[in-house]
Amino acid sequence: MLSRVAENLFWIGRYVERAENVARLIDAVRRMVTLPAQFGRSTTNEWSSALIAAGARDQLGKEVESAEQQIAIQHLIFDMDNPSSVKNSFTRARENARAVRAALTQESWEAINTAWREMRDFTPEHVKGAQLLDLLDWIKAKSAIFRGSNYGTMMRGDGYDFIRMGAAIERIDSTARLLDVKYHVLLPTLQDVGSVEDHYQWLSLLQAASAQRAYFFATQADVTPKGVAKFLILNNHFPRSIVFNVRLADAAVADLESFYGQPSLCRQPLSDLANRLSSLSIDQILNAGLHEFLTDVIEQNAKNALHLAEAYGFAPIIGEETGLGSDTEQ
Amino acid sequence: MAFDEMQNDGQVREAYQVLQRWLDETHQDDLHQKRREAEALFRRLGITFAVYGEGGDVDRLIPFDLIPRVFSATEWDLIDRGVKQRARALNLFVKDVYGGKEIFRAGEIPESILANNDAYLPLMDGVTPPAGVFTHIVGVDLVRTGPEDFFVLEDNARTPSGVSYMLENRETMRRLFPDLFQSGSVRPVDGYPDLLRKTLTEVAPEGAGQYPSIVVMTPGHFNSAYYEHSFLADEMGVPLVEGSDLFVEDDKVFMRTTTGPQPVHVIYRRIDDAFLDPEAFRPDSALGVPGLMRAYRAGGVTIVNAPGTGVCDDKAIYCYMPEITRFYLGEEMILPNVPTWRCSEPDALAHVMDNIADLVLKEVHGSGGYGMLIGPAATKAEIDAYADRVRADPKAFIAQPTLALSTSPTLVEAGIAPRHVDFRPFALVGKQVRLTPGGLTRVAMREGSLVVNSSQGGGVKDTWVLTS
Repeated sequence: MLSRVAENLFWIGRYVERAENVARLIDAVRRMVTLPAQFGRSTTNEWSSALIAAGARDQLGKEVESAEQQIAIQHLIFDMDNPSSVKNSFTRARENARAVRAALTQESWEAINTAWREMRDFTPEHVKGAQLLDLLDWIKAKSAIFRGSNYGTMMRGDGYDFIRMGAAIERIDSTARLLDVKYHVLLPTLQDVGSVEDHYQWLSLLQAASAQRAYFFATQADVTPKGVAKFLILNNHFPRSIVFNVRLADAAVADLESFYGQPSLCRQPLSDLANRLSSLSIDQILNAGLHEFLTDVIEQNAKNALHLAEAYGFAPIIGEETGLGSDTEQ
Repeated sequence: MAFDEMQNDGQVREAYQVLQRWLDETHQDDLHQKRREAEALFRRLGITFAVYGEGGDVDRLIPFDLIPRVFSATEWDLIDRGVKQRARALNLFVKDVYGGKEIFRAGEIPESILANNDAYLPLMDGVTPPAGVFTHIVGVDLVRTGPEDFFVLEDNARTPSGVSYMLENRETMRRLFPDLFQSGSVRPVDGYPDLLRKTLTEVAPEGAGQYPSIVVMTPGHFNSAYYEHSFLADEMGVPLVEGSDLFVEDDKVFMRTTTGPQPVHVIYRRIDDAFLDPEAFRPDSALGVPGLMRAYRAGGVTIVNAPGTGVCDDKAIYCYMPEITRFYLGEEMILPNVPTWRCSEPDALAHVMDNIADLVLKEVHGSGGYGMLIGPAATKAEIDAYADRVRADPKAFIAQPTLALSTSPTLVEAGIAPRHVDFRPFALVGKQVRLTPGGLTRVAMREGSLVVNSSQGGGVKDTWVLTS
């Protein structure tokens, strides 16, 4: 497979997953801000926290501190200047998919093309009140259709693995960031263990990750900060947990190794991260500082993506204008 | 009154009987509904062409007309022989231009014609590609003015586009109107990708083995014809590459893959000569592959169509096609040219100036329907301005009579109405010349308009060639 095609597939996996995860982040905040004060409505600005967790401080500057829902929605969903906005993610996924059209199945291509086309019909003005939830559901559904199309129609070969790899890397990043929202909302939270506020805030987090039932099913325990953090970081069976996705990425590279019949340079660091996470207890993580731990995971994860790029010959990104200027078809 | 492909003087032509029955049985509202379905389908599948820098939706649809254009077996036989003859003659001419230049020495064509031709590449002098083929994919634009009267309007010998529409239009018709094809009287077109692959395989460089490595090369997904590039690569099951995917080492071409460099033997490029290789042509181009021409001249790779083939398809050469056909094949043209006046010749120029309001004038090096004057449709001011340009540089222009292009029934808002059409079949030239029974019928959607180019609002139709 052309390295450029592999790179595009990897990024398609990332972009689609990113759109979904931004929707989940917004959903978590949407739930938090509807809580009455005595049930966990924090005194800090949750929308601001979400923006910070999404890395918007660079772009919005001071405005990020006082951002209200409308600004957050505009920035996180619609802003084409925000490289991670949902609209941008769908647009880039579609551009990438178009550039490697033949590497996708008809169904997978249509899933992305349709998401991109329909996204253009939404504007911030349309997203008021209950419509926000509709839009978030729509985004998650589009992501699910893409994932399902891949699962149901793609050859299990390198292309499938690169998409899977992109999705896993992106999800590690986003689950870490989702947990970090909590850190930003209620700093320092860990002293407040067991308070009513705390309970509902952590519950919101589980709900946003579609993890509430899974949590109760797997732990048979109450919602506690430690329990939720442990679940979202260390659970081996929950598909949005950090450790699950590190293993998924590791498995995707293992499949690439066997598909190509040669070892990959990026395998070792991935396995190392997986092993390190498995050896940690939640107490160790919390004692050393949740925020610091999450920051470290995000950095390691970014490095692993670079190792992958190196191993499979991904090129430095070339400006879009290179495609222009030769349009002399007869 | 222009000749109509379907009916004249109330008589429906034989080849259109099936369509006539279908149209009689089908309510027009249903046709409009189906047309909307077709458009939705094209959008969903991404069968679009991209237009950047004009504002609005970057993703445009070429209007698709549901009513097919039909050729009988007899008509097709004529087209088939004529187009193949044309493709052979064009190839022999280019081979000669970059070889012995015999046609000039014989005095059939003035050699000075090369000096004025930007498409002539001195770099190609002395190069003979595998099988002696230069232009492997030839799109010949045909027009018709009567039952037996076909003319070649233009040759496209560089990177002709539109074949994906031939295939997709048929696919769409079969999907929307399966019953229409039940009788089995329409010859299939879906063999094209296979024939293309066969052609590309036949012209691989020596030593490429039985299964040469073939790629389609695109300038990228911002190009207006990108869909077609991607479609053809997909249909043939070969990689779609951009310049940055390739590199040259020891006069061999390789592509960068996840398992390291892999050899490339045949490049079906959909990118202009000037952008192929920054070392040989435009040094500022980031689209090409440094060293590609070196590898090509050393025989390490086949470029399809060959660099420099544009020398045969501009309008200055076009009017010498009768001489060219006679010189190389010893034959008269099966499909004649449209009568053409070369404004470079004083007598012709005088005639053109006297009759400019009745003529069509074209730039010798123009294409795509741009830079034309259609005398009968132009205002006095437009004609005067154009005449000034012609007088200033006569050799840059040719003139042709305004042909009454045939019309074909077309679904428009007001119902079914005649619209002017042309036709582009695609000849494939490898060790033999092959023609898929079909092609791209382009239709001018505006009433009375003669301009069928998609860049000027033209649409497309499915084209049927009947088995009998």
